[in-house]
Amino acid sequence: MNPGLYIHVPFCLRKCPYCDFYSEADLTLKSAFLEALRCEMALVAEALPDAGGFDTVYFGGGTPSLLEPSEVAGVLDAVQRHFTVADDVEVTLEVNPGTVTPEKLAGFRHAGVNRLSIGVQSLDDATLRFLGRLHNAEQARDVLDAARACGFASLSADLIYGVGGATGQSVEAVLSDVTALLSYAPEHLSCYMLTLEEGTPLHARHSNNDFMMPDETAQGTLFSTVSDTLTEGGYLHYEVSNFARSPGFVSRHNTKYWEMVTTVGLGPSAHGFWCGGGGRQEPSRWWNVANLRSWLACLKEGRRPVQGEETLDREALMTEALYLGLRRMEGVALKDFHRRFAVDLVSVLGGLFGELEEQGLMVRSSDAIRLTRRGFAVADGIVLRLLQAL
Amino acid sequence: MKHIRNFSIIAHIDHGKSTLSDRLIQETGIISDRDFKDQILDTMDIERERGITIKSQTVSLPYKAKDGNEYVLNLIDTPGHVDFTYEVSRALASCEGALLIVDASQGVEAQTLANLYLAMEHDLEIIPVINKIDLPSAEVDWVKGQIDEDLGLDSQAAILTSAKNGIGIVDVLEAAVTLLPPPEGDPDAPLKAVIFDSHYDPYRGTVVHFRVFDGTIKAGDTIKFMSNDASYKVEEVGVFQIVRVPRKVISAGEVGYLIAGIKTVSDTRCGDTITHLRRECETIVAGFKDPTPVVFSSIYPVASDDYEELIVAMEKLKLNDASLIYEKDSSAALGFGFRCGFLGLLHLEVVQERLEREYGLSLILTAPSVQYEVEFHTGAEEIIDNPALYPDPTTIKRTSEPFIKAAIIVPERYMGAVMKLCLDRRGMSVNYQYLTNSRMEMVFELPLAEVVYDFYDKLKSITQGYGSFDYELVGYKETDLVKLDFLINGEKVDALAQLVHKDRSVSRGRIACAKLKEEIPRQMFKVAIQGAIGAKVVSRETISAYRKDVTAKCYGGDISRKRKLLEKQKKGKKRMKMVGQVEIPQSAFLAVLKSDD
Repeated sequence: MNPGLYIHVPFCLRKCPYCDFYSEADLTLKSAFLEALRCEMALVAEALPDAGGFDTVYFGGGTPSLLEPSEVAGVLDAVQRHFTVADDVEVTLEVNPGTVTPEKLAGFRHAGVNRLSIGVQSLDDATLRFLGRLHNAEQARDVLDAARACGFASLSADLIYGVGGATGQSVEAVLSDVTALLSYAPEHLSCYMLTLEEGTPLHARHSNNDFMMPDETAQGTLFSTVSDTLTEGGYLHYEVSNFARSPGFVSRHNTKYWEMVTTVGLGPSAHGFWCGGGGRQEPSRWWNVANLRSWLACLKEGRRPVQGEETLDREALMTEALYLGLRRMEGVALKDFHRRFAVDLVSVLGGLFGELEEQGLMVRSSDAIRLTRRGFAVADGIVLRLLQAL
Repeated sequence: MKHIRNFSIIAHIDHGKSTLSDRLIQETGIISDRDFKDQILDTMDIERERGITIKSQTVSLPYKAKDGNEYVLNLIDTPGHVDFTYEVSRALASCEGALLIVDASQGVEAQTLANLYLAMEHDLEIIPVINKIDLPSAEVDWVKGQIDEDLGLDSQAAILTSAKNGIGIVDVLEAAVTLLPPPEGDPDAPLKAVIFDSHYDPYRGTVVHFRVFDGTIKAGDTIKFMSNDASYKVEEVGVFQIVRVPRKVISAGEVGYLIAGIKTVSDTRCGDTITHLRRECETIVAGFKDPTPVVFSSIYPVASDDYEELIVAMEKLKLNDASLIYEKDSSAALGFGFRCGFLGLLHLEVVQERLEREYGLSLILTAPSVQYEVEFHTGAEEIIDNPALYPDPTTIKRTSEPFIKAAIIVPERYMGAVMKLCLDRRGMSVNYQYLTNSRMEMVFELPLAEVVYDFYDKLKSITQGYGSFDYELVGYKETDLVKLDFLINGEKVDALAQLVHKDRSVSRGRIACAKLKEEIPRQMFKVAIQGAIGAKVVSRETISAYRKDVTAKCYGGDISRKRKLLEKQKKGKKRMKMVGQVEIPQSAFLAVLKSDD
């Protein structure tokens, strides 16, 4: 499998109160960042000479759409120079409404971006205000229209649901958001149940009883509402939080994370995964320092800005393979699992599989186990039970 | 011999026994202040934390009295809880006198009386000590009145102390010398000594604590325990001065220890008589009994893999606790474990805590039960202490349960509350008397089963800490018993079953189901909890399924974070027990015992 390249653009105009990704609101270091990014590419290319041809490049953030199209073009040009890149490479860029014009979007397309992931989050102004987004619903609609207009054939939209308020978000509110988004017929949708991450302002406000979140039962209902609505609308619920209009529109880049294919992360806080083989036998994960200045300082000295690394033993790999596999529509391929870990899941966990099947949470076929859409909602608990028995 | 004094300190819990012992030890200077820590005789963490003495300790205090003579004062510390009354009685049998401590603000309490009676049974000379006299709430004259009237002792002889602040300590030592009689005995007669305690030393085996009445004992002697005719060659004798101090010989009237290659503490019996194999004494020391467990419960490891470790831990614990009895047991729900007998609920808790703390085990204890006598229509009889083994009710002609006589001393204003508590627990008022104008002793007959759960805690709470309690077993009475089963999703969980009186079965079932609902976490499916007597369901609760737990985002850095969380949760799950498909936390097994009424 070809590896994927992730580029973390660590700038935001303002940090959203629910977000725990790394970003800086001060854009003055943008050019220094872009320059250092080229140094990091050179160092990584040197460290991983046998990574193979990249067939995805993903600009994530932060807010990558704060980059100018020329800057994106420059980064992609550097990628071409430092790495082998497949002809049909998927190049995704995350776009925040409110940071782009139709001209800018066209510029991105011209620079080589062929897929946009638009941070719509909601098409309801009150929900957007609760989430502390900089844009309103109209701006989000404008971006969706403009992206289409300038010829992007692969659009993804992010939706956040299960938000809080005087009461937790209602089924009706979520339904209306989903339906509104469906009218734009995006090729791909990522629908995230709002998670209050520790250390974020929203988490603090909730601890302070500023607002109510939907309780767990309501969350379960919202999860199946979203899944049912999109499935009925013809989408594949191909991962816990991801939907595609057809198999061809599944996120090629994100699938690499779930299939445990090598991914290289560039930029502050970016993570990488080496699937094993080559000069570095052991599968491993590493992560860059989550601070722009430290990241810059490292690269200035000609060092890779890696803050930590772990090699994964068989048990860790097995845990990840099971967990990531069960989050996907395809589930865990039994033969493949046996080949990698010499574990026959059916003979070890068959009884448990039977129970889960009876409860309508799992489906077994001769070559795979997979969770049903209802099973997706409780995937964490299911995996824990399986791991206990393994 | 005339310069020896053997005495115990007896008191109600919290009246300052351990603190007074500490001060006596410090005063006689056998340990430097630097090495001293509070409650020095309470060596177990649990003892220090709970402020109770479980294992008795002995210490020989050298003391130069005001009369100019050197004395040896053997202080035999005793356990301070009703579960360990027999141990107390054996320690008292080794003494000529006792210091009876009364708290200056609490006054005489149930255990003060019970301990006084015990001491009187052994004809001990008793010196009353009024402790904590410097507390603002101290009422010395009031306590003196109680000593005269309730205890029938002479309050003029009472010594006033504050063990905490070192007041009156020398007075206590002087009183021991002047008021207590020296021991009597014939050093040339055949050896006659009593075992009042023993403990296990991992390097030397069992260390036996004894008092010599007649004869002498020294290293090289071949001794015999009269209860089981076991004989041993003595390797070492000595006295306790916090540490063991070897001596050549221990003679009549003295208190000491011996080491004789005795493998486990169970090979020695508290109260047994020691003599020489080739020159036996004619009579044994009176009062020997085997310890009788009254509360039974099964212990299981939460993780079945830990059973082997539990075996080792039980064996080690047994080395040091002769009153712990156990045998192998198994449960359909919990796998392999042990059925254990305890002297009381405190003993049970101590054993559990030691197993968990000292051996790192995570345990489940089943509902404590008393021993029931079951008489069948066939005329056969059986003793049942395990609900799981309760026979088919149609085969039973009659069931009897053990009763106790409980003496409760409370300020008069709590009389109504105590009466209600005891009647609620199926008790019967036997009589009551005023000890003073405002304090009374109430005597009840109560089923032991009603006391083993949380009676003492309840008594303390309804009397705001003023109630005190002591009991003795008085025999069996016919009862109307039913087995209360609990079913989780239709599956009977044998380890949750309880034997309860029929009148209380429905309410107990209801409370226990509610408790289980609180304790069992929601699962991926609906869980039904039922309480049942035979085929009849008497109580029911439902835990709804959880609907959503999945992590929304799982990219790049989320993956290893999630894996680490799963690994951690997997470890946490070791404290859960799978019963069928349901995870039951350890706490649930304890929760069903709480009465909450």
